[in-house]
Amino acid sequence: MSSHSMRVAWLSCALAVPVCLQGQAQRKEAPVSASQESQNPLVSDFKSFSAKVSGGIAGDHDRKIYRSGNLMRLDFEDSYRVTDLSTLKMWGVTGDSCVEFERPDAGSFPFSAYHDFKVERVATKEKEEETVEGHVCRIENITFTPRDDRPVVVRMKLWEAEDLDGFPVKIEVDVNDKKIISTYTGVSLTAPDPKLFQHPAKCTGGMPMPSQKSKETGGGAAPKKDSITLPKNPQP
Amino acid sequence: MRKLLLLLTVLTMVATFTVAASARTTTYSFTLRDTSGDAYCDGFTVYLYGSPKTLVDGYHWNDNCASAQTNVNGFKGGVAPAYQYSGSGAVLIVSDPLFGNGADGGSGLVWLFNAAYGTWIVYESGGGAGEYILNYGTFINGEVVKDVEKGTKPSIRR
Repeated sequence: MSSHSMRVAWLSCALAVPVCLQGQAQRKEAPVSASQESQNPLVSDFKSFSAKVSGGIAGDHDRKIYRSGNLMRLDFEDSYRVTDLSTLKMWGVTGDSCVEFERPDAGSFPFSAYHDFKVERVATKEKEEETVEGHVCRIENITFTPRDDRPVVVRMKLWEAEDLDGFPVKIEVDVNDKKIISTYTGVSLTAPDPKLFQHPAKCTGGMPMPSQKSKETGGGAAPKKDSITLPKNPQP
Repeated sequence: MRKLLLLLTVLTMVATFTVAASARTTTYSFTLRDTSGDAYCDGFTVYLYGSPKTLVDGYHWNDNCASAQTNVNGFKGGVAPAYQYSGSGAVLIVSDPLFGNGADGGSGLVWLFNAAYGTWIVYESGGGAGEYILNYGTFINGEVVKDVEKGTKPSIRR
């Protein structure tokens, strides 16, 4: 085979490989008909509420949480964070300062999780009930599986309070042999004030605030408390 | 010939100083603060070293407000501003086993420290659901808040 023929053969192989790989990726992500699937109740239901959340992946304790449509707000000492459950973006507001983030706040889990997963709602035995924090609850099991080839199966158990229109006062998520439990107390299904979900018009998208940038050895907001300076460059 | 020797000597000295400077370890030690500048009880001491100087090793001190300490490590590298808290450019990317392997399994934490902007953000694994923002704030490199005036809760407790 001449060197020209060899080059042509190599070029053909190089062009063919990405096409083959693309085909494989498309096959792995073949969607399942949406009409055959259940809906994630954490997305489709409970669109207006306020409560106090404890546990979850954030390990919160009695943190105030509000939801209005696709917006979920969590309160902090002198700030609040609002996650958009449809885009999974979040903005954090401290006073007049607002910063936009590309990822949701941990306190929005599991409402912000598994939106792109297949959902299977499993009917439990009739009359399977438990009482949680004084609420008689029906238990529902949901299984989430990814649409691609990720080897993850998520099992979620909801304790749905009968006196709160089925609101899940306790949610247990079992993923990769890790159990994550969130509990919601003081639940109100009254729509929260829309003003709670507003943010300042100017919300920087993760970009530096000019006044905040400083030297390598400094930076950040000014400390409010006395501090000590460490000796320079101690060796590890 | 003499000029050539002089030039070679100068070049050798510049190269030597450049290598020495890049090899010097840089220490970052700071108390974590919230976005208002209020101190949490915990902080980090990490060392940037190596050639290329992008290796990070150290510890997360007082991580439970009761003297506990966790060894951490990572790299220095570029992360898109969209994933940082009010910063851009290179950051220290530090893995923290703080949420380690308990009876119910562990969960990964990754910190991004931007020394130029004095900002930090910590992401937590969603176990396949995508990364979540656990907390974010500011720091001043080289300053550690005095014991009596430090915060009363760790940064991961928000």
